Amino acid sequence: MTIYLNLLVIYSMQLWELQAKHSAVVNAISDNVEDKLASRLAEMGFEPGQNVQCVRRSPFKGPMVVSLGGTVLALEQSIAELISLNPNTTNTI
Amino acid sequence: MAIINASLSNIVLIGKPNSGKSLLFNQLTGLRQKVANYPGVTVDIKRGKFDDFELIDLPGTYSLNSLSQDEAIAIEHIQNAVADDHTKVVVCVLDATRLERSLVLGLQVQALAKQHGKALLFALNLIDEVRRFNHQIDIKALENELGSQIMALSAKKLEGLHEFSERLKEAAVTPENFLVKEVLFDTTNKLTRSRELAKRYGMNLDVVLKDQNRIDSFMLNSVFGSIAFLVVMFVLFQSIFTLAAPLMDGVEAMIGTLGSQITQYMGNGVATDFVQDALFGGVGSFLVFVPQIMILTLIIGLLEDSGYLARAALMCHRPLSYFGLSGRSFIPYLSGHACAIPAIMAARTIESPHKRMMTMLTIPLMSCSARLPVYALLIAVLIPSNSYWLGLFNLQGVAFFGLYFFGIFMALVVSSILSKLTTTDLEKSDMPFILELPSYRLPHWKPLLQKVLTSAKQFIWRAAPIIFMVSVVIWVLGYFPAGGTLDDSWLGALGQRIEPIFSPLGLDWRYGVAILMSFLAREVFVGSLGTLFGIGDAEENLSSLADKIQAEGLSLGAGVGLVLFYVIALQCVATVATLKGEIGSGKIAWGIFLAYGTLAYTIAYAANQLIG
Repeated sequence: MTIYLNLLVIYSMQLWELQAKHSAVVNAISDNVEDKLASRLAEMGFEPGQNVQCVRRSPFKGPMVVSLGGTVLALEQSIAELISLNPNTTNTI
Repeated sequence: MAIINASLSNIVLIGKPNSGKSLLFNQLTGLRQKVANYPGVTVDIKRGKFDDFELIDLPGTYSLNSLSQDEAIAIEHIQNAVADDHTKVVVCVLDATRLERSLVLGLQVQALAKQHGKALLFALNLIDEVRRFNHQIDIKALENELGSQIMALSAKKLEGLHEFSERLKEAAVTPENFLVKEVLFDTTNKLTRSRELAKRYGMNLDVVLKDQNRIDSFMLNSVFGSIAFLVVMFVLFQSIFTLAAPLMDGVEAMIGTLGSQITQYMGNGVATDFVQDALFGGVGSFLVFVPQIMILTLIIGLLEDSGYLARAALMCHRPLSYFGLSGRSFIPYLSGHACAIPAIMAARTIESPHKRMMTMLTIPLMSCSARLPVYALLIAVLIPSNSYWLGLFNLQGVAFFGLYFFGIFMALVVSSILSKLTTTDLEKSDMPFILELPSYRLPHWKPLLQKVLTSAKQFIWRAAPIIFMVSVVIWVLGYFPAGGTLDDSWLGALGQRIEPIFSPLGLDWRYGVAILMSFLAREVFVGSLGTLFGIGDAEENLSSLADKIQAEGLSLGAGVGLVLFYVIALQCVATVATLKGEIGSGKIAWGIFLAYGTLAYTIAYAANQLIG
């Protein structure tokens, strides 16, 4: 059981962990995100199954720049940590 | 401007930010338009005349589901405008290069129009960009899928604009032919639907984004990007001085000529003195700042429309967040150097209510253009105009820069202290920083010119009445009962009464009166001091007033204290009124007025004591 849980922990990945020039598929938006914000994120394209690409990372933990659904967005750490990706889908771009 | 409300048929324009909505509005209405600032409403709504109809440009929004309170107000306005009986047609502007995102809003707007039985017309803008990438959008097929008419156009290149306006007139005359039709497709999930449609009709976005990302890899680079940022800021501040200077001289000369022409015909007497000193001296002195505000608005507008400001906000986000601010605070801070009023209103875009509050409360510390003449006068008095290194390094210039820097520094200090004091568990409910980076585009002159004209108009409109009143009051108090001798006037008596307040700062009663008078508007200071030092035309001849002050003696400590006082003190009724309106609390607005006044006095006192 503990091993299984550990695997779960390992196999969930935050958007914030996505490195520059890598892409992955969105898994879910955390329940800790307020409903309004979650629906706005969905409107921006952060929906399960959508491919998101990390265009660049900023120094000193500055906002990351991602591209999805034809838009380029800058997101700060606090929100990028609440979007989980499917780690099996990471790819270089 | 009798064009407003002349017709009962309205056309409303809705679209995403960066969809080219403003340019389309400008192309359809020309330059005759009006920005309406509704009382208590924090959104700008532009109105203009299109044919026999009134075109209403509603605030740009990403969605009809609001995220913040400000968005909620904007969206409520959109909903009311669509529901309004006078509204004949709803135009929804789509960005052809960003079909998926545009359609998310487009389908929401369509549903809203349908709900209220309104005609809807989609304007598929930026079609020239799509063609540039050799892509064709099958308009007829997309119309069938959407159940509404679509007109492809380029507001910038004027392509398809004529056809669009003809169709729009048709829709306004016979709205019943443009109602949203039922379609046979499942449209309940608007997100999936727009993704589906974008996949079928939209262009390959990798191509579009490649260009953008190439420029960004330079502009956002930690080394080159920072250098580019500094260069942009340097050019911006440089041009406030160099570009604006001849224009300001021109305005000044014009006012001077006009004043002397008019007074020539009036002969001598009280009326002439009044027109010359109060009207042209007082009100004229503040019109001089108009060119500067216009130039700053122009450059900020250029940066904004080109897409650069979003990058600047992104780069500033991390550093500014140490001080309890957001990357979006950068733009209001920047425009605060022209005038705090538009800057405070620009703070509406800040996502987090707390950071927005911090930004608004510290904007008055940015050295706005009204402080410039005060700085110029006191620097001329205190600092020798020596140049070093082939004139590149000018002592007075450095002093100017130092004052600007001191203002920004104090703003960051105040913001970090205030946010430390007020942050409780804001972290959880606070809105995060999410910023769309729009494509880089060559700005179009029409919306830019419109912004510049509006900034000048708003500045004059807000400040002129107050400055006129202050000028009249100071003139009456200084002129009577003695009929021209200042020491025996009411103002002189008042000045001697308040002298104890200002003597700890090393300043005599004349400075006291000038400071007191400038508490409503700091522009008044130089003019008042000029009058008080017995020079009628202080504004037109700064150096002579500086000579006069030097001759009478102003200690370095008192002078430095005085100029620092002007950096900090919130001497502007219009700003306090704007703060009150935006924050929704007079208590906070007047509280910050008192706090900055006290801080300014303390710093001036300390400077006088330390430097002597």
